[in-house]
Amino acid sequence: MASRRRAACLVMPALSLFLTATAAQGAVTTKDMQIIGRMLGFFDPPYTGSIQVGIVYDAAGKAEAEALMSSMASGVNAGAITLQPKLVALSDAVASGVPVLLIMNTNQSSQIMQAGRKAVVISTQPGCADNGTCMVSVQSDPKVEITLNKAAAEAAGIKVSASFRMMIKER
Amino acid sequence: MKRLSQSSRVLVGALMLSTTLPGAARAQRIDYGSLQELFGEPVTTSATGKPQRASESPATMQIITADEIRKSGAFTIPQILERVAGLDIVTSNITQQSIGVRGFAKPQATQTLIMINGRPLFTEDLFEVEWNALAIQVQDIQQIEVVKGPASALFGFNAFRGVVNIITKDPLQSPVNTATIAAGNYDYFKFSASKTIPFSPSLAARISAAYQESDQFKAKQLPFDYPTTLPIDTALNGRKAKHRSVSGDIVWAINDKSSLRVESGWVNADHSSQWTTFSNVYSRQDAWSMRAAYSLDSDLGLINISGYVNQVDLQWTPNYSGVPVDSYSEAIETRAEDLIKIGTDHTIRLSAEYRRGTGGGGNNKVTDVFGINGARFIQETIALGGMWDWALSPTVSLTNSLRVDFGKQWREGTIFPDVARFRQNSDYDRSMTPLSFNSYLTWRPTDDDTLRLTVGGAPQLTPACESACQTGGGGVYYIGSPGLPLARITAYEVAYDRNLDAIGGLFRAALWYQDIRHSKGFATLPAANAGVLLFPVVDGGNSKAIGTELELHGSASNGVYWSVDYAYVDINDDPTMVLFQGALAVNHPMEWEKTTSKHKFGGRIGVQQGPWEAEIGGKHYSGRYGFAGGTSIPIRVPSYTNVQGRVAYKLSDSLTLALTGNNLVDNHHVETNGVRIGTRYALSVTAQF
Repeated sequence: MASRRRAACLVMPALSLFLTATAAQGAVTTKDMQIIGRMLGFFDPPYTGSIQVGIVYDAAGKAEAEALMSSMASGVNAGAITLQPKLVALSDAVASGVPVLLIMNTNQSSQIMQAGRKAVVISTQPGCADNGTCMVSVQSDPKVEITLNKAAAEAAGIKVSASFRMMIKER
Repeated sequence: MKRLSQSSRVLVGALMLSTTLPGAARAQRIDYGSLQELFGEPVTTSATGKPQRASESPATMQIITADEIRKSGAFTIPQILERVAGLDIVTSNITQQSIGVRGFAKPQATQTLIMINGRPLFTEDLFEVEWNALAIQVQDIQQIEVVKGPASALFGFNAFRGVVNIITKDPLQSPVNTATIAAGNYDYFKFSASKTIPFSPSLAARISAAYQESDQFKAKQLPFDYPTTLPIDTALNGRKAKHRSVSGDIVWAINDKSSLRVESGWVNADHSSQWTTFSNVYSRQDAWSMRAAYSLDSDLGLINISGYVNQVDLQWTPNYSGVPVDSYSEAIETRAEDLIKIGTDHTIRLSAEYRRGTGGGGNNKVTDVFGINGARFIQETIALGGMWDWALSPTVSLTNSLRVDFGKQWREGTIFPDVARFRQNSDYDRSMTPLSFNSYLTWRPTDDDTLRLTVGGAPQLTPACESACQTGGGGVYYIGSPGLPLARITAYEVAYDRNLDAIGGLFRAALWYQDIRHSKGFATLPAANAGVLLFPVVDGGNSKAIGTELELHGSASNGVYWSVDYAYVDINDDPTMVLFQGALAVNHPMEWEKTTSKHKFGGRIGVQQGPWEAEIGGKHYSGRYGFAGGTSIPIRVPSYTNVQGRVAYKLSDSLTLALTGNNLVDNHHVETNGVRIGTRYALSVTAQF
């Protein structure tokens, strides 16, 4: 696994996005991506620099994934972090070794959550951290809300900074 | 403690670490700027000690951001705070204001705890803050946090009525590189500059310096002022207000888990102000401070160990005598705290603190404030505190704080022969164990609504001068009284916030009640004792107060923002009465119901478009009273309106021109007694480099 410590070369582990065919509740917005990027700076150790974003798609959602890829082709700036998108097929998500996954449809997330990999599993689906179908849920509208599933994070060996932990909800 | 020479202080204050070290760019201290960018609102630790979003603070507080400070048009930090509903800003002269939270404002108001990065700023003699004598520049401020209501359980015994915590920018996370020159009426000139030096991704320092001078507001002839052979305005009008300061701030992110921050500042300031007795005085101050803080993210929680030293040499020249008196103030404090989250719903904070405060005479002069030959008064406390924040449910939280101070005080040095006939040093020995508590219940039934119920109780230790001053001569003395009961406040509050997306803002309402016991002040009626006239500090009595604050804030997509607010305070004093010349009389000017404006209306509107910024705002105070200096003779202060404004144009990315004004409407109005507050203008140029 690539080191997350800051270095002159800024290639960082990838984020993966899994999209449904329609932009329903929990669909990923540009603001969501900026929040996710800033949030990764408060992990322990923190992410920095350019992070490759894996947009995970299934057959039904490929067109939307490509549209989102196109809209973010120049990257998403989030403070000290820049997210760079890349398409990743669902069938490749577990075995890809990507340490951070962003799941759009948490109905499909169980295979990823149960895979036992050390990975940050993020979703914009409300309530997913409560029911364990993601590790971190992120909402940016109407206000920023971040919820961490503590058990899932501990099982994956993922930590966040102490000050950040006191400012988010934990389940 | 041995006092450092001035040159040593400057050297220590400018100390730079020369090593460059590897390490993570961010260690586990609070990164206010990045957290604000993440959550879209300011972040604070001033409510409970744990980092929280401003909207989730259980205490009624307001955070003024660096952006708002820049646009405000204020010449002083208290003028920035005029926008906060429920705060009284009382001006006694051109550089000196005092702050009252929910009323109780008067010159040299001492019941609000003012801090920079958690370091209290008050001097030991009277617990006052001389704003012109702070080594801090406006461009270095990240945000100003205002907590209304007692908060001693978290901050210590002087957080009696509220807290103002000035947070400066972290040199590692928020570099500042600016220089400003300003000039205006009242012969005003200011130069201020800050430079940040990044030595490595883990080590940075900021140096700031400023020089400022101006004429002062004129004093009106007061018919009831003490008889004096000097023209009444000599102590005020003929002297300038001056400020010279240098400060340094170094942050070292040692590794991912720990960091060290060292701050130091020196300031030399001259200005006119008023004592709590409404007497006009001219003060000269030479002050030095240093603070060091170490943060560690450990398996036992977020551990902070900090310490600071404040040293101030003061010389007061009261108008009634024209004779300078010296005093010296020193505070040393060390503190350790551990903040730990247990499970998913509980956050605990444990703290221990040692503090030693000394108020003393200066340099063995006969006219020392505390006696002769460098007499001094020492207060020493050891405090233990705890905070427990419990997320009862996703919408309800309960926060409780408790603090116990184990304090003692004593006096050292020679007593004036006249006073020694009835006072000796053993009379000043005292031990005390005051208790402070705060409890907050917060309910957020929806994303847009917050209801807060709070109760708090706090003591205030008696300032050194009110315990042990001995100043005067010729058979007339002002003396402290060491055995009086501590002042105490108990406060209750209900507050409600509602986010209003339709106006891009917020509605806030607060209703509160306070019970204050044992307010103190210097007597205004003399007591004869063994052939001398004494004006001792007396227990002035009790007060009950009720009030409300209503606020509405809004903003629009075209860059316009605005706010309106109203605050009401009704105080009922139960003063201590004394028999004087056959009649009952009030023996001190601590009559809060007279000196507090019942009604305050505030408003502000601003716009930022392209290279232009403009803002105008103000506060209207209903009529109240001041007192003739050193007496209980009330002087009517008619209602007045303070309006301040700023218009700025960005000439380029690195150059901004601004026109600033204060007191634009009621030129030459009175806020305390005889000093007329004038209209001020200044033109400034700010360069970013």
